[in-house]
Parts: sequence; C-alpha cells; structure tokens
Amino acid sequence: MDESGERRDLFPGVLEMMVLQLLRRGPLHGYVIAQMMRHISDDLLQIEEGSLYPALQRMLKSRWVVAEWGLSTRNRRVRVYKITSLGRKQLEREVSSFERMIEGIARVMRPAES
Amino acid sequence: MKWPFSLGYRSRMRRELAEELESHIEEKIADLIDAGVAERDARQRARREFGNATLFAEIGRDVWGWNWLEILWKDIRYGLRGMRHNLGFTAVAVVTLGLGIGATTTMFSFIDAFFLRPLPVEEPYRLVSVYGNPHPDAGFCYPEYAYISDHTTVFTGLAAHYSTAPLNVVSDGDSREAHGAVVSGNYFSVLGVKPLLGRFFAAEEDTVPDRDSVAVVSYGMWQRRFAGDPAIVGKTVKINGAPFSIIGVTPEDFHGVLMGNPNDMWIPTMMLRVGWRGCDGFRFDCRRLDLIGRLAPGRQIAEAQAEMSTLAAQLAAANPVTNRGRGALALAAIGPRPGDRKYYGDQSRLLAVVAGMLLLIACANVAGLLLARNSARSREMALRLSIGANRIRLIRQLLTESLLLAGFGGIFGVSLSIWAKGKLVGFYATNSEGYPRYYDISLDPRILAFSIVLSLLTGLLFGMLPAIQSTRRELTLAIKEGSLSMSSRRGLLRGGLVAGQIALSLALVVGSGLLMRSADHVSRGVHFNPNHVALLRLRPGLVRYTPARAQVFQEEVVRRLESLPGVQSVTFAGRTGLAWLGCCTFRVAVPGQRQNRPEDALRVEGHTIAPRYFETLQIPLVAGRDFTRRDRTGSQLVTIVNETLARRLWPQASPIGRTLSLDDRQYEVVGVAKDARLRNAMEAPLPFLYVAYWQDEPQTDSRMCIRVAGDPAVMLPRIRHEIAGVDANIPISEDLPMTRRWKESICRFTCRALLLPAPRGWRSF
Repeated sequence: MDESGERRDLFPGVLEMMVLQLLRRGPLHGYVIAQMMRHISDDLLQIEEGSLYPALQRMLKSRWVVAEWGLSTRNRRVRVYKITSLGRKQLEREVSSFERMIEGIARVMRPAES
Repeated sequence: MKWPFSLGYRSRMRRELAEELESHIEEKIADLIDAGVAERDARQRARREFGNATLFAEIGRDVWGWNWLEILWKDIRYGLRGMRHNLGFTAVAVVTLGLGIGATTTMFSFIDAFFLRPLPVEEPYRLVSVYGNPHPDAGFCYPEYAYISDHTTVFTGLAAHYSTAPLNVVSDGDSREAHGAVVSGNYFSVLGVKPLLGRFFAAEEDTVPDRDSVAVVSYGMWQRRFAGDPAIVGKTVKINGAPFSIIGVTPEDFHGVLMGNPNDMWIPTMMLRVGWRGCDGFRFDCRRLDLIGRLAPGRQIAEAQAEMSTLAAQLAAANPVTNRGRGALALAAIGPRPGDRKYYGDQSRLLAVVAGMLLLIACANVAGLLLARNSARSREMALRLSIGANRIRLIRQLLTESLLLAGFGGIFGVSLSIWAKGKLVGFYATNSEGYPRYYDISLDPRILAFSIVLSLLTGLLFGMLPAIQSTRRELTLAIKEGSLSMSSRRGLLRGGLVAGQIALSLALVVGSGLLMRSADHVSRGVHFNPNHVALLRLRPGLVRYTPARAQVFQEEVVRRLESLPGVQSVTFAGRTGLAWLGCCTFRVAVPGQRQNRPEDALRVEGHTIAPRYFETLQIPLVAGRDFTRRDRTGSQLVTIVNETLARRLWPQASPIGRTLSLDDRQYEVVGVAKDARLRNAMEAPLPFLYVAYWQDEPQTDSRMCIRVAGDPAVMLPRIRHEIAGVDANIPISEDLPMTRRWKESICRFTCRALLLPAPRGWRSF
C-alpha cells in the first residue's frame, strides 16, 4: 500500500499552518489547496491529499476558516474555504513558534556553525 | 449537547464531507485525463494519491467529537444484522441469558418484597417502626403505648397495631376467620391512607374500652366476602362473637403494615379484648402491640431511637417490676420484624446464591459461544484492523453486540420472571402455623432498574474477554491462516471457562438433585396419605367457650360428622401447629434407665391427638392400640411412640406397657406407630410421640382431619353446615383439602427444586 517507500509524518499543526498560509491570499477549495501544496513544495512533501480534509475539519471547528459552497473552474460543486481573523492570528502565532522550532532544530543539527 | 439539532446537523455535515472528498477526486481525475493519462490509470492514481478516503472521512467526522451516538447506532444496526444472520446462535444465547437474568430478577423481586419495598402509603420513608427491646417480638402493652405516644416529640403521630389478631367474622350465616389487626384510632391518619369507601376511625372511637364496636375491612375482603356490596358501610357483622359495625373500606393496594402478614379487617385498640384473649391488653404484662410513627419534619431516625430509649427508661423507672431492662428499637418501617429478619435473610441468601450461579453459568456459556463465533469472524476482524479500524473501536463494536444479546436476554428474562413469579408466590405461601403469607412481588422501578443494570453487567461480563481476545490476533497470521488458528491464550481462556462452568453446574445439579429427591419424597409422603382428607380449624375459644364447654362441643362435632354419609373417619389434633406436624416438644426420660441429669434429658417432638388419628391419616400402627375415648382426664396417662423413638429407648425389647416420663409425668406406652415423615423427607426419621387429646391440658382450639370417600373440596361445605348445626357462631377457618395445604407447606422444597433443575437442559458446550 505504501510503495513510495518511507513516509514521514509532518509535525502536528504544520499542515494547518500551511493551509492557513495558502488561504491568506484568497479563498480556495480543497482540491486547489492540495494541488498548490504539491506544486509549491515541488512534490517534496509526500502528503496524502485526503489527509487535508480532517485538517480542514479541525480548522472549521476552531473557527480559523469558514466554508461555503461554490463552483470549481470545472463547474463542480466544491466547498470554498476562507481564512478568518482568528485564523490569521493563529497563523502568526504558528509561524513564529514554527520558526523558533526550526531554528532550534537547526542549531542542534549543525552545532559547529552556531 | 443539543441532540436533535446536532443529529440533523451531523448527518448534513457527513453528507457534505463525503461530497467534498468525492468532488476532490473527480477534479483530480479530470485534471489527469486532461494531462493525457488514460482514464483507468487516472482513476487509480487519483485514488492512490488521495489515500484512504473512508478513513479520512471518518477522522474528519471524529474531529467534531460527537459521533459516539452515531457509532453506537451503527454498531447496533450492524449487531442486529449479525444477529439476524446467525439466528441459531442468537436464539441459544438469548434463551441462555434470559434464564440466568430471569432467575436473578425473580430472586431480586423476593428480596425487594422482603427488604426494600416501602408501604403503599403517603411518604413511606418517613415512617418508623418501634419494637420492644430486648424482645423485639414481644411488643408493647397499651399503657406503654399511651405513655410513649403522649410524650413523643420526634413523631407527628404514633400509632399502635397488633397485626396478627385472630378475628373470626360471622356475617349472613357464614363464619370465617379474617386476618385481623387491632389498631389505634390514628393508625390510618398516621399512615396517610384514605378510605375507598366510608370513613376510618374517629379519635373518640378509641378512648373508652369495649365501647365502640366499629371495624374497617380491606378491599380484598369487601370483594371476596361481601361481593363488593355497595351498601357495606353500616353493615353489622359478628367479630369473635361481638357485633361490630363496618365503617369503611381501605384502598386496594393496602394490606396493613406487617410485611408478609396481610390484614383484612381492622378494629380499634379499645376493642383489644375482642381481638386477643390470651391476656388483657390493657395490663402491663400483655404486650401485643407494635408501634409505627411518622417522623416530624426534619427529624431523623437516630433521634427517634434516642427518644424511644429515653421514654422506655422512664417507663422502667416508674414500673420497675414489669419494665426493668426493657428498651425500644426504632427501625425504618420497611421489611420484616426484627425477629423474622434472619429467616428472610437466609431465604434470600439461598435464592441469591442459586440465581447467581445460574447467571454465571449462563455467562460462561455465552462467552464460550461468543469466543467460538469470534474466531470464525477473525478474518473479518483482521481485515478491518488492516484497513485502519482501531482496536478500541472494534472492541466497542463487539461489546455493543454482547450488550444487544444481553438486552434481548434481559427482555426475555424479565418476561420469564413475571411469569415465574406468578408460579412462585406459593413459595412462602404459608408459614409453619398454616397462616397465609402475602408478598408484593409485582414489577416496580427498583426491579426494572435492577434487571437493566444486571443485563448490562452481564453483557460486559461475558462479552469483554472474547472481545479483547479476538481483536488481539496478529494481523498477518489471521489473514494467512484464516479462521483455523487459535492462539494458546484463547485456548487457556476457553479451558478456564469450561472448567469453571463444569464446577458450577455440578454444584447446581447435585444440589437440585438432592432437593428434587426430597421434594419427591415429601410430596408423596412417607407412611401417611394426605389424599381424600379435609382439614379445618375450629376455634371455640375465640367466642368465649370455656375448655369444658369446648370439649362438649368438640365431641358433638365428631359424633355428627362421623354419621355424615361419605365421611369415613374423623379426628383432630390439639394445641397449635398444623395437624400433621408436631405441636410441641416433650422432655422424655425412661425411669430407671439412665441417670437423669437435666442436660441428659431427651427432647422429643410430639402432638396431641384425638382417637382415629392414625386411621384417618393412614399412618400404620405397628404394635399396641390407638387412643380411645376412655383415655381421658383421670385415667392412666397413655402415649404412642414412633418406631425411631421406640428403637432408641428400648433397642431390644417391645415398648408396649412400659413407662415413660414426659415432662416429669408418668405415661404408659400403649402403641407404636410407623415413622411418618410428616415434616420433611430430607432428614432421617426423627423420634416422635403422641399424647391423647382428652388427657392433655384443657384447650379450646383444634385442627380437624376428616377422611372422606370423594373429593374433600366437595365435602367441605356439607361439613361446615354440619358444624354450624352444632353452633353457628364457632369460627371455622383454614378449611381446605389436605393435599392443597400440604402442597403449600412443602412448597419451600418443591418450588426450590423447580427453580433448580433449569441448568441441566441448556448446557451448550
């Protein structure tokens, strides 16, 4: 079932952070979010596309995003997500804590350069 | 949680999520096809890159945290489907559980009736019973009651009742005993019972001894005895020979306050001398009354106990001769009298152990079945685990199935129990004195709650281990080997179940076998024949007959009945107790045979009987003669012993003509009777002896046995008529064919045996 070899889970909360980041530029529906993540990351992040949806449900529940039904470019009924002001604040918090974490990891991984 | 809202909301959310996931995949397929991928490949790739859609949908739903109800509903539907597919298994499991739960529920109904059910009156939990202490069954005399009632502050009202008063009621030429109660004027108002018809006692009707002859009857008596006569209020009847006027009828569910002793008629305490002749109820040495009081608002039972003790001490100080050392015991007015608690406790324990064992066996049976069924389902489990179901979820589902089974078992069991209780009320139907008992074992919220909780616990008990076991398996192993493999752990579990079950079943089968055998003996009777015998009790003492007059009456009754066509022989037994049981024990010694230190004395049960007793009950006389009318006061005292007593006292020689000392009086042994195992065929034959009625102490009470040619039930009205011809006022009670009374009295053996053999039939391993 897992022929692409090793798969690494993202840190908890990172998927949500990335989605919020994408939504900051404008409302998107699920498929587009998944496509954008794939393209922007240049397929480096091996995420199952479906795992996006539980994350979106979590964000809906936390009111970081709101959703309403719209139409895709192919005229298919899709749910379009929009970031809320709560979501923006959350994103800022996440980004700064994420950067601190990356920084910390980086220092540990390359102690000579620090 | 806003249920109705969230239910609709949830199913919408769920639909929307599914639609969203589907449209994602469709978009992707369309993109891939646009990029030149063949449609089949595009579909496969889209699905693969999307991942496990079902799982994501499920996790997505889980985010909202409200889907337990949904899961439960799904599990229930799935479980029901499984049960339908597997009807054989379902039926066996439900019936097995039903028997276990039914037996346990029935058992609990009795415990509930004995110890938990409050009186059907206003605020029953505020009622407190006060008994004499240290002799809780001795009660209080009227002056004591009056003193306590005048000085109590902890009760808003304190009533006295003597709830086992023998009241013989004569109305319209029909003479019958009622289960009477002599109660204080405030009895009904303290209890908060309202009359169905007429009124209850007025305060001034209980102030002057022997003045106000008023009586209240129960709904049951009104219906049975007076055919529901709407003009019952104001009717005059004779109670123990004195005219009384009926003033009211109690509601249907009210049977008095003494658990197990239903009352049919109530008279005021000032009429105590009518209700009880053993002693004068207004004197200090005649203690027949129990007290029942309603706690004042905010007062507790401990305060009642403290106050009662204080008042009892004051009484003792004022009347040192009669009341020294006497206290009072205040208990919640639920359950049996303190003296009876041990008896009911023992009965309940026996029932609880048997029912509990039945239930455990049922659980073990069903757990074994489930284990077998779950190993057949191990492929399904393994598959579900491998596609991402989590184990807790599977266990939850298996448990839901177990609980469903238990639920159906519970429904079946409760129905069974309702049916069985109808059959089992005879279980305690008569006490050893022959008085009927009444227990309210109808379904009540406590019993229902008990059986629901019991069913749930049962479901968990038999479902938990199989559920844990069958989800524990190694995935690959199960998929590869299918249902054939069985881990050694499960083998152990199964072995344990079988062993435990065999042990329990064995205990039950042996126990029930023993009881069955003795029940069989008892119901056939050993060396005596209860068929074609009519019984009745005559109590001339209740209508002020002196012993001398009672004996003249008694002889006349025997003479007239013996000349009645269809009557073969007539006899009677004296003192107390059922005619075929002993009335009392005698201190027995053989003069000259041994050094008679008091502790060496042999105590032997016996009965005082009239001539033709052996002939009437068909107990064989193996030597000597029967009593005759010539064995009367002033003639040589005579006794008849049974074979066991004869062998014990004179192992080598014939007992006839020997002298025996009974309670320090010299008797001549004139006969030897077979060991009639009258009480209980379980025990070895006991020594037993008989003394002659006409030589015994003067008495006014007798229990007649009449052997007839045909059906005793048909003969009884003619017999009653004949006795009424001698004196229409004489109380006749307990008139029944002996076989019926016999069955009631041995029900404690036969009914248990009926209850017990159930496990034999449904062993399913």
